Amino acid sequence: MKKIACLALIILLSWQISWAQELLVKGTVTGSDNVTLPGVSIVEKGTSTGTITDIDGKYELKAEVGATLVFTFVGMEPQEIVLTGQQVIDVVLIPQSIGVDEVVVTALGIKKSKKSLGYAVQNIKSDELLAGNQSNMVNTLQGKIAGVSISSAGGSPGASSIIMIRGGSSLSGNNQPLFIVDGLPIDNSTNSSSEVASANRASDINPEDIESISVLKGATAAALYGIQAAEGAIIITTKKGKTGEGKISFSSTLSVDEVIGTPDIQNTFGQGSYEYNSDGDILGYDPSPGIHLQSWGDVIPEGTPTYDNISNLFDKAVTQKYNVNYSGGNEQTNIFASASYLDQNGVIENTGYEKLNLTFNAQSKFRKNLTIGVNAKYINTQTKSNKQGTSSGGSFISMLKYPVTYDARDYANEDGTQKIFMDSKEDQDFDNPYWSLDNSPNTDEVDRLIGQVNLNYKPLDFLTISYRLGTDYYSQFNKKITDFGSLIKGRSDGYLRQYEKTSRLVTSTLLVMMNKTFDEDYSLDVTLGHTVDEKKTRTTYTGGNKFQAPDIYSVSNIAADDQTLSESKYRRRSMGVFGEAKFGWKNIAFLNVTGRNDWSSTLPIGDHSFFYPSVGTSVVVSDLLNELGTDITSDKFLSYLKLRATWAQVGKDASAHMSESYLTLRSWHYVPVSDGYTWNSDQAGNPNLKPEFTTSFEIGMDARFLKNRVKLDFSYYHSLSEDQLLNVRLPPAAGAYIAQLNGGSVKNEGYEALVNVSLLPRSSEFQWDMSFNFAKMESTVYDLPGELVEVNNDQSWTWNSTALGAAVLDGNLFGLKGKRPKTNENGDRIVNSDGNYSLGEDIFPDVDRMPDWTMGIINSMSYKNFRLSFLVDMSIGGDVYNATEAALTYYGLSTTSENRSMTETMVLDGVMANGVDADGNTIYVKNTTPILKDQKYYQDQYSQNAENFIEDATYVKLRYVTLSYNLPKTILDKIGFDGMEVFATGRNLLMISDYSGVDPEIASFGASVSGSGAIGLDNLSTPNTKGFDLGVKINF
Amino acid sequence: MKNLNIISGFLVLLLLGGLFSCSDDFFDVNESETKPSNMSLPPQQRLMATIDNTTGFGQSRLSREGTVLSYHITERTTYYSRWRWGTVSYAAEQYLYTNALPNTADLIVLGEKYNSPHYSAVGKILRAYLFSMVSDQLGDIIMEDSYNAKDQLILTPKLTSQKDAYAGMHKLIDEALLDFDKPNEIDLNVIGTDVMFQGDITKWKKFAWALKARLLNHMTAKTSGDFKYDPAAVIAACGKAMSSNADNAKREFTGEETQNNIYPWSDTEGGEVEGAFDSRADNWSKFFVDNLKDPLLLNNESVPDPRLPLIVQPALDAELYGLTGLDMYQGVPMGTYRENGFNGVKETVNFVAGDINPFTGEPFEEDITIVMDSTEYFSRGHQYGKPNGLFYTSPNSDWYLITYAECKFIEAEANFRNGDKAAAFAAYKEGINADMTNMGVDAAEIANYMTQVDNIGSANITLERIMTQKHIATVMNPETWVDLRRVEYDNTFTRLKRPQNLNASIFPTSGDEVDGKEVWIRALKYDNRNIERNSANLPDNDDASRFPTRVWWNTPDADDVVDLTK
Repeated sequence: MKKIACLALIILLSWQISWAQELLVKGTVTGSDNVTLPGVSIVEKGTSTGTITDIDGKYELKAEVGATLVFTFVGMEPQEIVLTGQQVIDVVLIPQSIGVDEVVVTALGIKKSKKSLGYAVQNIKSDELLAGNQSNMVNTLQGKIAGVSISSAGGSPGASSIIMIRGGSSLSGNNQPLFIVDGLPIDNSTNSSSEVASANRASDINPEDIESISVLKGATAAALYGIQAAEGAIIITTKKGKTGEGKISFSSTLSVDEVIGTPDIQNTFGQGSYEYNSDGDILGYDPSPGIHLQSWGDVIPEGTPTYDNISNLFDKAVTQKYNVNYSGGNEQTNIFASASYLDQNGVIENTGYEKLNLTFNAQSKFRKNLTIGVNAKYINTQTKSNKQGTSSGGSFISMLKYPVTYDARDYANEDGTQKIFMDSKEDQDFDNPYWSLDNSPNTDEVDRLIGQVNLNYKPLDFLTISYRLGTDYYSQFNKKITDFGSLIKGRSDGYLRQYEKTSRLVTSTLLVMMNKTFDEDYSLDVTLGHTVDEKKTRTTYTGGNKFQAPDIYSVSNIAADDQTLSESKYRRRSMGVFGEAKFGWKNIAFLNVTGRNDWSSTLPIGDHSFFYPSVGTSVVVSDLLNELGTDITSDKFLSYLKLRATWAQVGKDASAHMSESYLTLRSWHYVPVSDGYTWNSDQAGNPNLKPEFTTSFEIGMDARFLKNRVKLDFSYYHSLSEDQLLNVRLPPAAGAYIAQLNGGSVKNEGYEALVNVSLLPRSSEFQWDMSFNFAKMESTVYDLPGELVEVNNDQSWTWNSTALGAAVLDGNLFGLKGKRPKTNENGDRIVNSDGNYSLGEDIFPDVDRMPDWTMGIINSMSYKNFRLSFLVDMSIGGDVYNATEAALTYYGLSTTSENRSMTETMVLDGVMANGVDADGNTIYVKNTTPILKDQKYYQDQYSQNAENFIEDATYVKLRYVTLSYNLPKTILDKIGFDGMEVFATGRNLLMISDYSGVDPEIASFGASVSGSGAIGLDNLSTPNTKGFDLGVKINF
Repeated sequence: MKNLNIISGFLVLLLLGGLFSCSDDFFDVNESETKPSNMSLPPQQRLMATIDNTTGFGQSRLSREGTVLSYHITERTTYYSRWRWGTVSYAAEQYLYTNALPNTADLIVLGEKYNSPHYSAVGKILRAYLFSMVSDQLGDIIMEDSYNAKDQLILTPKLTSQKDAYAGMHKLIDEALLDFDKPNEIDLNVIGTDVMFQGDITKWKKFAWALKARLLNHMTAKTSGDFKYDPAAVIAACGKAMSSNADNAKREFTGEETQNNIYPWSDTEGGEVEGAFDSRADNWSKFFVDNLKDPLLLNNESVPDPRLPLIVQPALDAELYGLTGLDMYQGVPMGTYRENGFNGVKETVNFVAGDINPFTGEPFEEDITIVMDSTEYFSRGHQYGKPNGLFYTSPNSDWYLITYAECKFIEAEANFRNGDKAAAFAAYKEGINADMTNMGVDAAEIANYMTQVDNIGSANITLERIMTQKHIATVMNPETWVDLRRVEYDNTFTRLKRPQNLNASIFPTSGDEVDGKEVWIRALKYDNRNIERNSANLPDNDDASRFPTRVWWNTPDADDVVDLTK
């Protein structure tokens, strides 16, 4: 394959280059939405001479004055232009009706007529993205794309969001799609820290800079991207300068947010604990403050004030957003520049997120056929977070320790130290959240530069060569401090953990595109490409445990002996050579074949090359029948019908640095170990790793009805990811605890439907368009190696290790593992002699943290200058694990725990062992042993049993409502603006759900957890927010 | 034409870029830049960790349970319930396999790679030593399918029968002895990492022979077959093993305040030295202390062992209880300690008649169970001494693998079984002398003691006398439990009793698979994680099927015995 790659370049060099000798008419063809249209046919009327537009919608044509050029493109109204001597003719084609056919951005940024595609691609434009006013770019897609699920890690500023297309397929790897910005892959990683909310790096992109997003759903659409696109790809096209007079656009938004809610808490019982004698019988309450920090005390006397400490923690928060951009250009050069600033305050005091984006895009033409473009984005983000989840100092978990009769806001002594409300500092062992917010900041700062240079050369009218070299570079400084005076064990003299990370991704892509039409009826598009990329990161971790001087939170302020230091490096290189050929017949039937070969540094040398193909077809049945003499279309029913199918395979390489076993310098507290390098039992490498393959199949139908006013896209897909690269827990006798090897399969199946309806004819002044996107999917674990029955990521352990996300064999990829009562062979729960269940870790084979189906309904209405849009998002079925409630119950705060008694008993449903039968099998009898519903029961049994906290995740949400008004031209003329829009948005205003927690749409651990991840785990994170926005957009 | 030049230049650049990226070197970036790999360091840089993990992760972790099984120590917390002979997961196996053994596999391959077979030899000896320890506790073990530094790790490794495992260990030792005679490029102690023998090949060879003698001597139950007990072979192997205390296989600790230099048994609960190993040991056992009071089995305590005060601390509150003389040294009867560990507020303590009441200092007249506050119990002090702080349990104590003294007792046993009482008595004497000398007992005291030994005379040498001295000399070595089982516990050790409070359904008073008498513990359970992840290849791991089931060498004959572990 090495030779093929090189040969392709040599062929290019020896291409016969011819030069036009005559003057040309040239220009750009765009759609009404300013997206350039490739493949537009331009024919001189009455002749057969003509051309088609290139990838950027540009064309050149020889013609004489007086001739008439006819521009035709499927789905667009044909346009005729008479030549009167002008040399530049830019044409804007108007759609025939909504979405009869679109041009979509496909893999590698190649624009194609949607008609010709054998797979589903969904395109979303700037104004649809901005509706809902989300500041995390990933969240802008929420509810808008069939088959795309987005879950955020909660309402902390800068919290990450997980995006998954068509569920997931990877047991322990990344299930998120590849992000491409203007042809350049960008980093969408998330820090793996559950201590604080961490951003997913794609959120750095400014939504206002985006022209459109194209979602390639899965391997079928993304096969050309190869390795990283097994989970699909999100192709982002940013705004470019437009030819013509320079335009400035300004927008500003002011938002107010608050948490959707906080959990209900009981207000009946106050501070204290039950006291037991040595036989475990209750003696009574111990009301003394003592060590009793929980709400297991006596009934609160009437008139005693109580406090909802959790609710009090959250406040309203204001966010400001400003964006200004300039677009302009002439025949030769176009530029686009923008600046945007976001200042978001968190719903918890002293937390926040600031983001500055600067963007510059320019294209310039050199001579006739070479275009040079540069594209640069600078991003600075600064995040200030509270600690979350179950980490030491977590705001939410710390609040639970306060009894309802204690106001956590009253925490400071006069000298600023924390009040101790238990016996001693040692007993308290946690920090007041308000103290932590003031004294133990967690900060993160990222400087990022995404830049590229691209060249586009068109030596012949059917040949385009483009080359792109780009980098995504960022440096990050993350710091977590606990100040002097902390009550957490080992941190009273201060605590510091910080890291500095630099990450660089460099990508080079060469594309050679040819398109040729034969005999008018046949077309052939060929694309050949070559891409090389390298990712390098270096992270230095420093820290220590004792500040010497006050108020200096630097590692330099820690004695050398107390410092910790380590470094990690990551390198990955890969190369791909690929080709695509598309045959078309009369613009009715298409056959598409692709092939790609990848080489990756992460696989053993000598075995690091792998190839995978795809084949797809698309037939416009309505046109085909028409061609054959039967017109099945009519104004009253069907207007258009297309069928499509694609089969594709995509390979995936291993994680970097996994083919060898690395030694460790271990300090271990169990036994005396050596200063020398020793075998690392926590992670053994594997010299025999093979690439993993995902094979997908997709069929679909695109149909239009009632003069194209109703549009239906339907897809069915099936994919199988086999022999996955898996981090497997081994039996220790094998020589290590964890090793990477090939094994395990995941099957993925689903349906998607997208229905667009224009309720009223285009001629009507009032317009109401509705878009329904429906998806149903299932990811099943089909096979696991050895005796594994589940694969989990132990970063997702919820509160008190009651449960974690796990991919369960013969069950769901998004399953659950946790503590539950042990059962006998009949499946009856086993009760111990003391009347309590015997809890053990086990899988929950029926839990599925993904919904059964989802539907988003986007409504867009317009009347004169008013526009109203709203999105109703529904997610039906699926489970959520409410660890927040488990913790609330443990501390005696949940409303469930209100149902307590020191006298009333109950009997748990289950069986008890009662001797053995003649064969030695245990005999089980129905449990009749009564137990008290007391503190002990709730703390040792109820709150530890994960079965009690699995809930239905069904919800219907009104995700946003936006009303906007465009000032009429008469007023604009007076104030001198070209356009002005004012808008108001309400976000997450309504939710219907039976979920007992705040919001079933939650992934507390965010995008940092891979594999079956964190979706549907509610674990003490900041609740999601709702809010109002007021904004204005002005064009000059 | 200007156009064309620029364009050609552009394409040439691309072509060069393409060629560069076609090279295999371009992809050769998968090795770590911050860590060495298992094959990237020369063997001398791996030697110290290989030795330290053999003693640290291997032997010391195994002996945490082993010292209780060998009747040296009673456990600190009953969470581990070892005086009930263990009904919980046994984790030592995993540390041995994941930390100790892989280093030996690497060392063997690295020795070959660097033309330095001496390293391979050390790897093989330590590997055989580790496999023997784990096999003696479990019987059949994962051996061939464990990590070997050549192949990919095996997700579902298969068992090797103990018989095959023993054959494998002998093979490793034989190969090691040959490897030491091969030309060698890198001297063992070239950078001072041979922390066992400082590069002395002769001592390594003696260690290999001692291990061989030990393994051959395990076959005392075999009367036929490939592994028929051969006293002559044992004696011959002993002849090539250690010839003085200077040859002892040991790891020295300096006792400095870093983890790597502290003897694992120096402290309990990590109290005195931060980070020190938690030995989970509370007290020396009554059996052991009583042996030290009457080590020659003369049924009087007039000839106490001079090693007694070097090993056992006197009672914490001897004065309070009026304990004097030998009474200051008290061991705890197995199985009579606390029941609830530290978790419960109240502790249930079972005392038998004769035990000292910790509150009064008077002996109990009958068996009694007392419920008391644990903090009170400990703060009041009691009649037992701390187990730590002396010859074997100080931060700077030495860690022994096989000693000259042990070899002498092996030789004594083999001669005794061979009917040569004179030779047995001579070796017995030399074993005692060697151990006392090693402990630094005053020469005059040794001489005095030896007179008492001589009084016994070779005619009166018994297996019990030999094994009692060996029990003292091999204190806390997992080998002791092998001895107890081989000599059939109380069949030989007349003073030995089963622990109290045994789980009767697992350890009934009759029904041993060989003699039908009291059931004693005969094997340990496989680690739970091995069972969970590899159950198809491992036998039933129930308490009842594992604990009382004899390992292969503990069954009477070589080949005609039903494999009870399957």
